Formats: sequence, C-alpha cells, structure tokens
Amino acid sequence: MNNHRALKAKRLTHKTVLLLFIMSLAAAWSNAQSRPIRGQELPWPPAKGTTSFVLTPAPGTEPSTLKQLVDTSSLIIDGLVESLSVRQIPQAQRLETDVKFRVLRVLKGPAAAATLVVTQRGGILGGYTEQPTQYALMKVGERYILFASDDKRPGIPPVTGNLRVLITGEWAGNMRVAADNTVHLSSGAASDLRRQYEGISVDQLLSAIATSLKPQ
Amino acid sequence: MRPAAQKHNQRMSQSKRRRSQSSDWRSKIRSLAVKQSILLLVSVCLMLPGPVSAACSRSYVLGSTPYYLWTEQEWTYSGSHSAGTGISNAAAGWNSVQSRITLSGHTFYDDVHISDDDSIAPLEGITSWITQDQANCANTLDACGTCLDSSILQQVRIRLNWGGTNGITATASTLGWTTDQTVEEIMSHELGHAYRLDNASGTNCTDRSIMSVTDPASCTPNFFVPQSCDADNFTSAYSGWTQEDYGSCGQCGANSCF
Repeated sequence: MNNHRALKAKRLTHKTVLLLFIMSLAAAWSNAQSRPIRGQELPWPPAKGTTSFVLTPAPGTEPSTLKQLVDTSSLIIDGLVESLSVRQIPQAQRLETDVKFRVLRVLKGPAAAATLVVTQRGGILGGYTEQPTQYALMKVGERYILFASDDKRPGIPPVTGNLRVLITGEWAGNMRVAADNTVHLSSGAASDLRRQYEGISVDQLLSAIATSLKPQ
Repeated sequence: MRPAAQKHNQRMSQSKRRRSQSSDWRSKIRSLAVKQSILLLVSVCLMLPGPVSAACSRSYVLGSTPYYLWTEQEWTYSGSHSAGTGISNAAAGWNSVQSRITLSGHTFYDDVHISDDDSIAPLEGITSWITQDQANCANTLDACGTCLDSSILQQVRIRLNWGGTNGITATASTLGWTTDQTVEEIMSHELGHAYRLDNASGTNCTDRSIMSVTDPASCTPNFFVPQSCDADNFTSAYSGWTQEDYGSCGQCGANSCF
C-alpha cells in the first residue's frame, strides 16, 4: 500500500517537473524573441530606445530653391520655440510633436499671428525617442525662420486659439538661426538650397526672402 | 693551335650554343607563361560580378542607421489595399541586385511590417527602423556573439499613403502608371531605406537610382526596381558587416539572453 502511494507520488512529481520544464521553455522562447512574429504586435510606444525614420516626399514636391519655398508657403515667420507637446498616433504607431511658436515677425501671411503651432513628425516620449534622419527635432528656446502652410490633414486635432501649420517641404522650410545669427538648414534640404544658404547670416536670408517676395 | 685545344674550343662553343638555345627557350616559355597569366587574370576579372562603383557617381548611404543582422527577412502587409504584387516585385527586384539579405513574403516572422497610413500625407511613405534595444533580448549577445543593441534592426515599419494628398492613387493617376507599378516603385524605394539607403538627391538618368524621388518617373524608360547604383550603395552600406543565418545562430540562447 505504502509502496503504491510512494509510486503515485513519484509519478506526480515527475509529471510536475516535466510540466514546469515545458512551461519554462515556452516562457524562455516567448521572452527570447529578438525577431518579431506576425500577430504578436510589438508593444508601442516602448518604454525605452530609439526608432529612427526617413520620409519620402512625392516627386516634384520638394522645394529646391528659395523662390519655390516662398511661393509654396502661405506663411513665413521669424519665431521662437515656446513649448513642445508630443502626440501619440496609436493606430499608426508613431509620434508627432506640436511645436508652439512665438512669432517675432511675419514675413508673409496674416500679420495678426502672435503664436502658431507647427507639427513635426517624431518626438520624445519619456525614455523613447522617434528620431527623423532628415531634420532635427526642435527644442524650446530655438529661433527659426519658418516656411509653412495650413495643416489641412483630416483628423488632426485643432489647437485652441492658434493657427496649426505644417512646414513647407517637411524639412526644407525650417531654417534654424543660431546664437551667432547664422542660418542652418536641415540635413535633408535640397543640395542647391544648402549650398546657397547654409551658414549665411540671418540678415542675408531675410533680404533674400524679401527679394523673392517682390512681384516679378 | 694544337688539335686537342681546337677540340676543346669546339666543345666549348657547342656547349655555349646549346646553353644559349636552351636559355632562349626558357625565356620564351617564361614570357608565354606571363602572357597566359595576364590573360587568365583579365578573363577572371571580366567574369567576376565586380563592384559597380566604378560606374556609379552617386553615394547615398545613411551612416547612422541600424543594420540587418540576419540573412533572410520576411515582409507582411496588414493594409486593406491590393498591394501584394507590387510589394513582391519590389522585394524580388532587391533580391536580384544583391544576395546578402534576401526578402521573402511572410511565412512566420514580421521583419518588415507594411501598413496603410494616409495621415502621413503629403508624403508618399515613411520607413522606420526599430532597433534591438527595444526588444526582449536588448543588449544581450545572440548565439553567435553579436550584441543585440541599437545598431541592430529588430523590425522595419513602412507606412504607405494611399488616398491622401500625393498618395499612391494620386501618384498613379499623375504619372500614368498602374497601381501595381506605383506600389512597386514606392516599395522598392522604401525597402532601399530599410537597407540603410538615403534619398538620392536630384535627377540623374545616367546613374539612375530607385532612391531618387524623381529618377523613376523622369528617366526614359521609367523604372520601378533597384538599379546598379542601388546595388553599389547597398554594398557600401553593408561593407565590413557579416550577416548571420538566423536558423543556426540568430536566436538568443538561454545562456546568452538571460
């Protein structure tokens, strides 16, 4: 009788050990994935790490001259970055940053604009960064000469009391003014634009914009 | 002169003649061997699928982006449009110009995830690189000893604008291409980004590239798949990197991962 009980207990122990072994193997397998499996979506946004991305414009939509930038922008301003607000777009699993600008002067467009919100794709959310390769994410306190147009994308949330705009040519129309008053273009800007305007003084750029704004 | 000395001189001159003849033959054989070696070398060089770099003047490698670690990658499309033909053709196009990292349709993995996203308008597409530093095996060694960090890809996500401004529908209509051709062209371009290639600037129909936004529609004939310049830039992008066979050494082992 005792022998029978002992045998039963032994068998139960063996079964439990085997079950635990299989479970630990399965857990290790699911945890050890370094390659994504279809149907098992990666968590988004992740708590940490960096995702970089590159944008593809449609043919013929990338401004390659200052004249094109000026002509295709409904608003050109000289402004300071006042605040940043990161928005999650869960269905597309990406971040956008709403950058609020204090307008120092309007070079083209409605003169009454005191503040406006421009959207940049990408952003920083806690320990996670979505980093564009063709331009830098704007930072509070930076000064830009900004070429923009109304953001008419469907489903984009309105910003109370502010004009919502998109940068012309996605990265071509944000020219950063450094502390020494030199102008710096995005790395992805057309080579002709970069050749002509990278490193010039802000006064030279403003004068070139004024010339482009004059009717031919 | 004494007869013995005469005989000696004759023998000497015969021997000299023989030596000179033999030396002539040796030099002839040597020169023939050299010629043959040169000929062989030239033919071998001509037969080799050498780098296209000599012909390609454009360079568009993204230096700071992560690498594919494994030799085979699978794509999946989760959108609602009929995109399979265009994506398959684009993947086949890349497979035909390089054999280092092959792309195939989904069987199990989701290495290249393609989806619809009209909210990216007025852009045509976005390609994102998700790195191993976000994965479960972050910063551990794989079974081949490679550190799964931010320099190694975990997944590439490609978003396509179909119905928004400048989307696939609009582009096909503007350029007079079929939807399959438009998807093939855009996906060839986006897969090039997945392979660490940047946008090639300007239009250049001599060294044409699928990574140029304008070449495919501007050059005659229009083209939809990677070109020799793209193969050359791919080679540059992966120069000095070794890919691993996932089946034999890609997976994290219990000892290396935990």
